[in-house]
Amino acid sequence: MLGSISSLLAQTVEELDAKITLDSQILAEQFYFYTVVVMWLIHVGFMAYEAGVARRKNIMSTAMKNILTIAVVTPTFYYFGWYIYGCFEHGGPAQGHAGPDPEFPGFCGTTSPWADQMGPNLGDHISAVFFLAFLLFSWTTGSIMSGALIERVRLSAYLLLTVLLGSGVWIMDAAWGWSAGGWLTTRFGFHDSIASLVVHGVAGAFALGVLLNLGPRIGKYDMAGRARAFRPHNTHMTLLGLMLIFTGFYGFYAACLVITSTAFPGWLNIYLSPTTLGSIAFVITIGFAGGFTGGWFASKGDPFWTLSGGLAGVISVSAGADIYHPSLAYILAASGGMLAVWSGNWIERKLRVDDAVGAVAVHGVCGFYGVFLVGIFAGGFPTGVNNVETSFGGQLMGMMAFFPLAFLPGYIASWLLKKANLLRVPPEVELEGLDMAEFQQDFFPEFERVPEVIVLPSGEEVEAAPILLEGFSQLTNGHRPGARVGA
Amino acid sequence: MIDSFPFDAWGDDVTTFWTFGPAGGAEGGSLTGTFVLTGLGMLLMVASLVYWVWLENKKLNAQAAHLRTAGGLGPAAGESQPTGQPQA
Repeated sequence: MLGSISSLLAQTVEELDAKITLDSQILAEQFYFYTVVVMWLIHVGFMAYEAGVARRKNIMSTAMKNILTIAVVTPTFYYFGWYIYGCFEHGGPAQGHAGPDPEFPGFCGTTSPWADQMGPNLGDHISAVFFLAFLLFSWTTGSIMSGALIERVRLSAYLLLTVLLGSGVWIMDAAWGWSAGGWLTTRFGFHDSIASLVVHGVAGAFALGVLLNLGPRIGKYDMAGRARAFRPHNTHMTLLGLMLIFTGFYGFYAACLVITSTAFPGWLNIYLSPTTLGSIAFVITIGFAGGFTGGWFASKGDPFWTLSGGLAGVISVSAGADIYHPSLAYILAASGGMLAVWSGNWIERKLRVDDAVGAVAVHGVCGFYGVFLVGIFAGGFPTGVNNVETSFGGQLMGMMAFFPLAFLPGYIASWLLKKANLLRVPPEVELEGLDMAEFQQDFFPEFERVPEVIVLPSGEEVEAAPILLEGFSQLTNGHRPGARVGA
Repeated sequence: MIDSFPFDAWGDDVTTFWTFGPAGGAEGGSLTGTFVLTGLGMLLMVASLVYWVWLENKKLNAQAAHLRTAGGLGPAAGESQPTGQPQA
């Protein structure tokens, strides 16, 4: 009698356990699904932000870059990007990478495009949505680079470069330093919990490598090397885009955590160290506040840099968002907002790199700054499943590994495209505007285009296009015919 | 009754459908079909990237040549008509 009751209870407990496990997995599946939905706003935001910054003759070509990022990064990330994350944690391919082992595939074996977990699978509620969250991070890296290159890069060149960045470079660095088993994590306690460096810093460094080959927009610098301002065609759209990016960042932050209650006792960061959703929500919110404040004061109230300062502030505290006190995050984010303004101006005026949206400063500089700050303010924190203490040296190791990993592919790939004359649009097309060449139409047909003018020392106003084209021809050793552009 | 919903039995049937998977696991499925689909998808991925480069190069060169020869602005000959006002 007792035996049968005991057997019945055991069976009931087993059934309940199975149901709770299934519920937990389905809740996690829903959680990641909705982080993906929220993260779409990042891309809506980047599109509006960059299209607003562009001059009216380049609006659609700018927006199409953001949209087609999805078209190229999604399949490439599916076919090889996710496999890199799963199998390159130790720097090279892991054992078992050739295919899934039915007995114990390990993470690597689940990431090849023909793996059981990479398609519809009734027994797996996690892999697909986890993949999707990382895919959205990949789009983000492409969108970060996108804004820096606008108004002169070829769409196809951008797409090739964003495949390299979104499905190759960033996911390799994530395997190394943004996973529980990555060599930087397990050996050096590298800590970048919400991806200051692995997403933002790396995308910024890659973009810098591309910008050095791409060169500035025609007319950006005068003959004395002084930077000229290209006014955004719609600042409101740019600011709205930034606000949408900020909204999407809450999804980005949430997606960086791990939760499956029957497998883990609570929320974990990407290194599987305990934290809470509330902790990171504190930091991102007060990070925006600090960043806006720093950006406002450093730029003396410039709207573009105030909002960019908010983004820079959050990026500066993201690496330690799982452990920072809100007051510390506020102070550090304010410093990050200021740093973005100062470094952005320095890059434009001293380095003479034409970064149309300040991406190298906001994402690149502040991404590296964020990881640097963790070395100072969170040294000694036990990171990862091995509880390796985070240290300043470990953070430096990550920075030294990731800068060449990002910068060199960007520089080399763009150099090759430049040599093949596939990187930049022809100067005549650039002066006319990319929309006419790419789409054969003006997207503001009701409004007359007003040609840019240059004021001569005599006070006479003349059309700028022929002068700019002649100047560009001289700078490029006359390889371009100095034909007159414009009526 | 929901308790009699034959999910497991139907699930077994579903997983053997060739596009559903698991691809080559113990439950069966079509590993060959999965490999063929994967190969075709990769082919489309590469072909689309190549075509993007080729098509844009053609468009940009045509427009640049048109601007050089005509000295005016607007779409190159043979391209679709603009819907907007050409640049002055």
